[in-house]
Amino acid sequence: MKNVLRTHPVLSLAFGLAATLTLFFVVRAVFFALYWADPAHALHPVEDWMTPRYIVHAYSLRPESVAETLEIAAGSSPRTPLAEIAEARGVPVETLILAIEALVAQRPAQ
Amino acid sequence: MSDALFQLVPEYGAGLVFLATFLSCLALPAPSSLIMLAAGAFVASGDFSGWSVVTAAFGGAVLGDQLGYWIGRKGGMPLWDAAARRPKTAGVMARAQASLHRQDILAVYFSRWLFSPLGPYVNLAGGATRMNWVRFTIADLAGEATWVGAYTGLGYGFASQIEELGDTLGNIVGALAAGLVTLLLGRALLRASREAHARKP
Repeated sequence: MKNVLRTHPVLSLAFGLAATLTLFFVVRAVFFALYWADPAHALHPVEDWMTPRYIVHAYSLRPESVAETLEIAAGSSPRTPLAEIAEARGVPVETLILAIEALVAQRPAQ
Repeated sequence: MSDALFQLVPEYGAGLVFLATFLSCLALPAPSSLIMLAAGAFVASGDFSGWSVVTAAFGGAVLGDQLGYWIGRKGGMPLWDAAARRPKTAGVMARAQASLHRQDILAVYFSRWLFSPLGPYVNLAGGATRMNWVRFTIADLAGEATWVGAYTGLGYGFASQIEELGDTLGNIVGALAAGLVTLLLGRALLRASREAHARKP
């Protein structure tokens, strides 16, 4: 068996690399799956890429409350991420994020 | 990094989805799986229409695959041909080509979604080995339908957790592709060691 390492060094190296890479991905997959399954990590924090409709959907909020909090026209749900909304209003996006998270916290317990 | 990506999706819409799947099927770095997850999530939220996302993703993927196949077919693959000529690797290449030919439909189908990192190379190899185009295309359409359906479906169903999904899936798919390559190389190594052993007086 050791012979093959000498006679086929490139193939052996390639095999070793592929096996290491496989292990690397498996370990990471398990880590992320466990992390994700932890109930403490269940609710994803509000992010600057989320759109108003996405926020309504992901956090089961009322569209009117979200529109009011973000100070966008009632009944409109522009397909714009929070970051852009914040920029248009001239406020830091963290302000909007905190405001939405406050809305989420106010929801009655599911 | 996925944050920046997720932000591009609502801004550039179906056009971005089309470009991403098209480029990734040509082996160009494009995080098409993440983009499709996000697109599915934005369909669930109501920001996108399901039809535009699915059509864009599927169309881009199939077009990219066809281009890859024809590049392989017209250009051959200089590396593949060179390797096929070298006496030491000729045997391995001939066996690889034979396996690809026997399992052509399955190889194309599963490299669309289950072993997606290998997809672009299967396109090039398929073209270079002159795989029957009709068989290639049928398997490609079925496989891409599975891929687009699975990722946009997952994004749709787990809209609030696309980042977590993206992380986990990326690693699972990476493990599958690397695992398959490991198995194939291991089998080749085993065969090489047996042949060397058999040649001993």
